Amino acid sequence: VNKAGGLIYHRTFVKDVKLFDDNTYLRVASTFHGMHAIARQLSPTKGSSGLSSGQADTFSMHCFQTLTGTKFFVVADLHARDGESLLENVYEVFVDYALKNPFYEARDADPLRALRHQPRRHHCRVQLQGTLMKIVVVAVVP
Amino acid sequence: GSLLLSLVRAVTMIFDLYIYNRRGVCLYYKAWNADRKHKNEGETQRLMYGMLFQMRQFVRSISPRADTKTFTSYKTDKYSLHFMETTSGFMFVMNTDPAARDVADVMRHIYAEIFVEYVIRNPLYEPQTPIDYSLFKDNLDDYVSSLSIFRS
Repeated sequence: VNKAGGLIYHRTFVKDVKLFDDNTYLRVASTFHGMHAIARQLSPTKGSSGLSSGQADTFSMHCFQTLTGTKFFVVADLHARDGESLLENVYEVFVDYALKNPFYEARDADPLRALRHQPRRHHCRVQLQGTLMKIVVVAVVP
Repeated sequence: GSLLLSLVRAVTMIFDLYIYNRRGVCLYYKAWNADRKHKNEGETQRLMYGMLFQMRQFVRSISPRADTKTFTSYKTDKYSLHFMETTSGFMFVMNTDPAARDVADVMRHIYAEIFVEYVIRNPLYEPQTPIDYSLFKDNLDDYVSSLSIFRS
């Protein structure tokens, strides 16, 4: 999510989960952006980062934030352990295909439009233990 | 021998505890190891409640499943927040170091053996008011201290 809560990309990997409409994803991204920051404010100790992971009774979620503030967020099942490293791999893919793409316009309303014409060869080299359910990529608009 | 054993033991760092009623009133707050001073305690407690409320809703809305009821914890690089809501609507929040385990059991113990025992069952306690009983506070401190030293 960027400063205005802009959602860049989302993709669902598992077939039999409930799907949402685009507006819901936008709301989710901006809500998460807020909570990520509040988690730092609520820290009982000095120098905390924002939210890095969360657990519910039925699933887990993980967040990876880059130095520029881009957040990568994944929803996975309860037993997923290496959510953070999976997200780092997603970030590498994003950098390779999006940020280094001369047609990629970060300021566009639909920034990944240029990607649609590219051949998609995303390989996630890390095995996420458990099932990956949904991935939401949120990126900063400079 | 015993040196190896002492290296294997884990220290649980418990930072602080919040207890809210179902209306979001903070009935009790205690810090044991929190080294970050919040300028306005009341404001922090309200912000915390807002965060809990939002997190609960968030988790329900993004859940891939229909039976998700609540969130249980979240982490940052420096702390882990654990959340428990009782059937009677009280909310317990405990901040620990990120590696702490079995904190749900700790909160359940605090609720059932200390909070219920010394607050709810106290005939003088007026519901929904802040807690200020030394029996409650001392028992809580004793229990938390016993967890914060080396445990095997």
